[in-house]
Amino acid sequence: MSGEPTSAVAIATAVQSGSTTALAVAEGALARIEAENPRLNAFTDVLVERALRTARALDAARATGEPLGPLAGVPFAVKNLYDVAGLPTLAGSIINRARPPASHDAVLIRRLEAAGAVLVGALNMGEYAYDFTGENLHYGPSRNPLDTARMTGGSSGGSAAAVGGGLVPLALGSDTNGSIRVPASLCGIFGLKPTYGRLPRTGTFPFVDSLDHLGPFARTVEDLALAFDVLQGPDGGDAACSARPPEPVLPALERPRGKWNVAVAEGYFTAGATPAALEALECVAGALGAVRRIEIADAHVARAAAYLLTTTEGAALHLSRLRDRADDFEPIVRDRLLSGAMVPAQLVTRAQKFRAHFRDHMLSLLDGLDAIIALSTPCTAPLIGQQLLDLGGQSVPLRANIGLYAQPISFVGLPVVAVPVPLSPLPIGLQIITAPWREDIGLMIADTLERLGLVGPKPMT
Amino acid sequence: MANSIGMRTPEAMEALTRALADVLRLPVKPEWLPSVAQQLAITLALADSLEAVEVGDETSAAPVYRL
Repeated sequence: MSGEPTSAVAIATAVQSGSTTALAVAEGALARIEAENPRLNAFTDVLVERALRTARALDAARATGEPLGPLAGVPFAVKNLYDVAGLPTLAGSIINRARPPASHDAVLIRRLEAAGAVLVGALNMGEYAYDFTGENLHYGPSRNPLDTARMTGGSSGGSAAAVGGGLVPLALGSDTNGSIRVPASLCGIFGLKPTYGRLPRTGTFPFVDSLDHLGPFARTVEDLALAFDVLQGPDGGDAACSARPPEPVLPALERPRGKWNVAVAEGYFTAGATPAALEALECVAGALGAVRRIEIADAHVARAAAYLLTTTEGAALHLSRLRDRADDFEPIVRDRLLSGAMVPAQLVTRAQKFRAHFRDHMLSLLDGLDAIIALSTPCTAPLIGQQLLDLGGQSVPLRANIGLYAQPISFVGLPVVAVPVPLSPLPIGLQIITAPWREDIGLMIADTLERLGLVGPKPMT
Repeated sequence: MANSIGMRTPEAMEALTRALADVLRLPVKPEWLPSVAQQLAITLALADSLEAVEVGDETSAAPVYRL
């Protein structure tokens, strides 16, 4: 693919100027998917006809002098819990294969296509998003583009594999407890988990309504910001979606900026991390002049409360499927959901009350700070099939613990830009955590680090 | 796995799980019982940490969370 534009911004610029066509870009993406997907298992559906039809329409529009959108001709793909017209919304399950095909695209797909982007397919994911590994017994594991013997992380594993492997410059995922930040870390790409309620979830299959966030993956901060700008805006189809108008962040990346006031989360957020992960954290902290160290009190309780809400809300969502088709779930997902249906209600209420308490605590910590930085995962990508994780010398179940640094943050809905530190041989991600609705600050800090050459994906070979 | 009130032994958790499955009409097959019971024990153990934090009687629960 030498000579072809690879970033979303470069592709859109080239298509708008006529130096390439949307059709050529779409054909290139489809060829890469055909060549690489058998290795990565990122896609569960490839939409050849739709992509070519959309691309031809864009080229025809340009030929008549119609202005093209900011994502003109940019190929993208979505985690298969997004509704795609004509496809059943799998959400990583075989049970959902029996659902009728979606009649409409999810709102976020419509927004990207309205900006000129070209949907090329639906992506593999952990079953019903109850997953941190990217493994799936029904469709096979998504594979890490940097080492296919290793996990992508999950549950948005196919999204991270598709972007990390260079099949598409943009993909959409979802993050309930870390499902954007964990795969972004393990695959070495950027991800954005916006403020809870920022992006509408209309037309997506839910998991835990009070924790579910949608967001994009990209290989550059500029692409991430551009996608975020296009995705924003209220929507009446999602009761949790804010009425805030879009607040574009791309122009902020051009603004001059002074010194950031950033603190580093330690204690819970460094316990058990590998020496290499801690070195990556220190490197970025040093570049940002982050001398202040903080320990976030009760982070372990926040993680516990998030775990509890996840298993109980998830069980409520899937109760009829558990009763009727329990054999068709992955065993680990089924057993977690069945146990969630047995948890006493007073514990759920207690977790929700603690949530308000922890939110206030996090807001007070962020008062006067631009951001808090923390590791996204305690280690680089584990091997596919690995069951245990060495956490500071203690062997713990991997599935339950690889997202432990991500869970307390999504629990209170704070926005996070996930940035990859390109360690050798494998990268690791950091979370740039900001106050509610201040995704712009997180993206500006990520942009600063990218310009310094400290974060970003490894070059594609 | 003990708490201050009782012992969450595997046997006790399996008995509890079996009873709850029956009364809640949840299809827990015998071969699934140890795993479901273990998951329930993990959740209850994590929930213990919630009791250690005083959030105040007046704190509102947030079933639909908004910032």
